[in-house]
Amino acid sequence: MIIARPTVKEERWLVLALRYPALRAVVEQCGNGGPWKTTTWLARCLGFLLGLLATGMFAGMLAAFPSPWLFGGIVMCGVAEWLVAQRRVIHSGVEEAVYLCGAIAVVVQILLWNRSGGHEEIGVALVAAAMLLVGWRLLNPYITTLAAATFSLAVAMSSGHLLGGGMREMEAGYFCAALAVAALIASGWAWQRPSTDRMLDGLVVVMPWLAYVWLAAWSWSYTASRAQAALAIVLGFLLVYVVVGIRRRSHAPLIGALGLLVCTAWALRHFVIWPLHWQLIAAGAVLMIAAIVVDRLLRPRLEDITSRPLEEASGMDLLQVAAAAHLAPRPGDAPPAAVQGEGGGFGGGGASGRF
Amino acid sequence: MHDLSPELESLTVEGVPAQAREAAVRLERRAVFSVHRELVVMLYAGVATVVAGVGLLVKANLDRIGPLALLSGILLASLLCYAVALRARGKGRERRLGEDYVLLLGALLFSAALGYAEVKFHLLGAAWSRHLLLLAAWHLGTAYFFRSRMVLSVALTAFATWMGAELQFGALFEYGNRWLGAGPRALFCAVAFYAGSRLHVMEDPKTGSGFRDVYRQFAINFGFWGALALGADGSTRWIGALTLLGLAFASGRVGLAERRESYLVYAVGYSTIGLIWLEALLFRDIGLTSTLGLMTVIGAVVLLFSLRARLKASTA
Repeated sequence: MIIARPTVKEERWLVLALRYPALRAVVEQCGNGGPWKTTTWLARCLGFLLGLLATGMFAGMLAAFPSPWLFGGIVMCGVAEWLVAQRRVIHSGVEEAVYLCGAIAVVVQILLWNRSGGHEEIGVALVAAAMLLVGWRLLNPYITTLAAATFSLAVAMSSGHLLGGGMREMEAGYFCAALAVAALIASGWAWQRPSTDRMLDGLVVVMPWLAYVWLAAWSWSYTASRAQAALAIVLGFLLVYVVVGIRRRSHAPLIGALGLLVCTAWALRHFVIWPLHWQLIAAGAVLMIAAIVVDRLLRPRLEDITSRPLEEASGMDLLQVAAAAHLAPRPGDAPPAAVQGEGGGFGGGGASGRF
Repeated sequence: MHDLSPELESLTVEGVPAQAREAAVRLERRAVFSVHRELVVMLYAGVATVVAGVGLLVKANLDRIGPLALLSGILLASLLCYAVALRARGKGRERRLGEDYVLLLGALLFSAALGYAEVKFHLLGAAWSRHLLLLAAWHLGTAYFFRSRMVLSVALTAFATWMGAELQFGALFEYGNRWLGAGPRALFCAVAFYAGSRLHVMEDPKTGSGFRDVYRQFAINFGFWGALALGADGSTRWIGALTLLGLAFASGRVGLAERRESYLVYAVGYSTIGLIWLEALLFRDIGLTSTLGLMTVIGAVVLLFSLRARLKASTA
């Protein structure tokens, strides 16, 4: 059976056109990307939103039918498959949302039929497996990363219930950490498919954060040794990620390291006696000073590693402006109205002489 | 790690694309590597964390430190940040990335200080929300003085917040005052921002301040939000729907003419949400609403692909 999706060659040319907007027209004229239709990240976001909306509307239509999850899921998977195989749409957001929701709906229906088993972790693992299949089918790193995160939930639930206590947070944390290490090693190899690289990058970025979340939950009851162990793991990952990111000149470990900085700051709160506001101000100031120092050190170096923007902005400027607007001041509450003596206004029945 | 340099080298290009190709080959081979985006994220997170900390500091230590000492401290920190930007300007050079964010921090700390002074001392009394207008004017002035797009976006947000805060004077819920509601105010903001963009119409997009783009992004988003807010009110539903479609048409045209994909995305996205909302309000039946909504989404997807194809054809 041949599964319709871009060949390695086609995918590489499609990625090339998206990655370098200045060369997009030339690359597309070559026609090596095949018949596939892709979109930019902004249109992909809208496509995903429209896909989710369509799924919601379809669910509303099926509300009165028997077994709506199974029927709806199969139809949605069919539509998404038709979009990919017949219309040659890939990475547009629409087929990704529809396929993902459809696959999850089918699994949910199967789980509803077998509710008596009492093994919730198997249900979660099945949902994760469905996500993994969809992510692999559509070459989508976000969905495969989501699948890995869901698998970690299944590991945590292997001896307990979701939010019901008795979860194996430590095992889930180690699972995520192991996955992060494996992905970090594998991402050093030369892959032909850009999407394989991106899937590994997704695991490299997210899994250590998730490992810390699980370990933080594990040390929630707060014994100092547990918190120290969680902090040590985070610091270890941080160090390795910075070194690997710089040596390999790869963005994924560096982005992962940024998130690990947040985890470190959160973990350190157990060991710092300052009030929260001073912690925030100090953490923010340290972060800014570190960024300014790195910028100053790297700016003059046009060869090798630099802090200058080398690729085209492609929406980065727009994001910065929107982010700055998000930080802008919000209005406080209106001051309380002054008490009016002598019987008040209208409520005082005119005792003040004014109605 | 994949490397697309073999594909790049097989391209036959001349002129500007040839230079772009050479730069791309160096990037693919990792002969040069930029950490610009990581630094942007670090700086933004730093500014956001400091501002959040200052907000908590004001709340937590009001009694212990005292309002005047607190206000002086925040103002001093703000002035120091402005001084960093002034120094760069004095030397006649472009601000570095870090200095840009220090300037943003200065603007936000100034906002916090002025807001705190107003809350504590009631400088403007019943017209308390006017301090937001003063802030907008201050940030607008500093944005032009320092040529900072991020400070301009803070100024425009402060102006819009002032327009929204004026609602608290009670006019919104008074009978017959629906024309002062959120929708018309957002539309007024959109018109004001669009007028601002017209001031920069002669500016070169590559070497200019970039303010025109900021104004237009704000104008288009506030326009759509205003139209959606009008549509949510039963008495102005159809005016809102017509405004929404008119704006979507205009946004789509500008997007195609100027090859700006974001405008096409706004046109399709906002009009779809508005139409589904309208259908939900008109037909209360869930089955009918869902069916019409699904048709609308399918239409939107087809329109999005068709606009993308036209955009691609015009670029080629």
